[in-house]
Amino acid sequence: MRGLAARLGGRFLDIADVVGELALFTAAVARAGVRLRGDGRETWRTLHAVGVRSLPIIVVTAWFAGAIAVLQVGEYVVKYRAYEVMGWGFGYSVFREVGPLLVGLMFSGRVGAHNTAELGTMTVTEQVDALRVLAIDPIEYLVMPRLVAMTVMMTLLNVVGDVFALIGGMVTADVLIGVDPYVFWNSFIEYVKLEDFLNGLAKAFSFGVAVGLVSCGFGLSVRGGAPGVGRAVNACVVASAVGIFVLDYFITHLLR
Amino acid sequence: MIRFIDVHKAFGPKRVLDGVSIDVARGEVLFIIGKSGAGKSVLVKHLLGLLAPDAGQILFEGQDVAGFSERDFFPLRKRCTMVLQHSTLFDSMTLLENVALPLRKHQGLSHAASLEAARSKLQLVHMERYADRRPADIGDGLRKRVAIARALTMEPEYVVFDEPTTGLDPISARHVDRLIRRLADETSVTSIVVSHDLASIFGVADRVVMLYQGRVLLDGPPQAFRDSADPVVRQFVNGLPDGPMDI
Repeated sequence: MRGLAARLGGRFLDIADVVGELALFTAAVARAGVRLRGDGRETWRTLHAVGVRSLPIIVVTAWFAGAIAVLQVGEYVVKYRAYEVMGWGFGYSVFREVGPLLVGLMFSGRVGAHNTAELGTMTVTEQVDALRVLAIDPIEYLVMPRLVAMTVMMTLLNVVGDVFALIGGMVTADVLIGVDPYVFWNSFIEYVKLEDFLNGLAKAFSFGVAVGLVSCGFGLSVRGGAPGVGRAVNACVVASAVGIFVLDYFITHLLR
Repeated sequence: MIRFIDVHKAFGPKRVLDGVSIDVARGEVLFIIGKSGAGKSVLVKHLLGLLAPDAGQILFEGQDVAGFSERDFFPLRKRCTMVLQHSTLFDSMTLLENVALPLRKHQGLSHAASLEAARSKLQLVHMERYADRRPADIGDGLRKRVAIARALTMEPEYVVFDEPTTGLDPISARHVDRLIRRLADETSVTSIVVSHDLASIFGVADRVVMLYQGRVLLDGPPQAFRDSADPVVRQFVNGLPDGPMDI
């Protein structure tokens, strides 16, 4: 019994340690943000690395997500001959939920994990300490550019994802279910509101901030060489995914 | 002047520094020596805020840095920098970009101007022909030289070298020694060198401090180190596997 209590207590302390470290890290980032500290050159480099290189995987994912969404509802659309609401239903779900959620998860898996691995490797090889002894603040030089780039690019990639999901859905609806693209488009234009799009955009923005903070925080707190980097990447992917779902719930609740 | 006063540091149950006191005078080349794990690197990392002491004072020109925050250390690090043990060049950059980074960040130079200035810094360590290579493409000795050039871009008054010749061939090691000596003689830069390279110690040191069991065992000129009758010092100088020194 005492052993179980000790294990539970130890686990709780580990979690409190991680949460506390992330909270302190977030406060340090917020201070740098308030002072508008960063590095323009590093920000541009990261924008390219994060955005341009993520584009193909986001396009493919969004296209197929759109196609799958259409396939899932296609049977009922045909059964109830609800062709004229298909564009609306599809646009509403993609803009508000499927788009930001899928792009966010892909983004955390690709960009967040890569970021944690890169910063973690820099930490264990003392490259972060090398920055510090050169009087360069790692928060300003490494974290702020990544956070800005990940937030901006997550938001923009969500827009790209929306567009390609829409195209994928429309093509699939036409080819496999026989919904005329003109009918699909009309239904979409008529019923989907700007606020549906902005709702998804707000989610994408907050997911970008969350993935940026979590991936940088875990990367800079790596201990224990290569196994530590592996553990940090794993923890980053899990924490980002959980964070995305929790944020999604609260934003959905707030913006109902 | 730098003063370490009764510095203590432990990692868990292991006491690494157990009351170390050392004074470092302006312009001298001080070697801190001792066997691996003696706490040499740990001690100097306290000076730059990479570690915080459990107890004791570290005075940098009269100011106790032991209670400094991370932000407080940044002005100090422009005057007192460090070449870390494994060179720690940024592997996503070329050698030229590595050296240009502190120039761009601290001297307000444009990217192009910082690269131009960095090229001349690389010439000082005879590395200009490798400027566009990446750290992974060159050997340890060359990386060390670039790391030194990068540290010197800020024209510091104090430089801490953590094992600058470890892992280098004898010729590269003597190049590094000569550079450290030149810095002291020509520009009055104070150097604190963590080392166990006897050729370096007897070649360039003004003073030697030996750490043993978390304390200062010997503090004096290289000759005093060579002539010491202390059995632990004798074992270290002669590189004997058997003796009183605990391994």
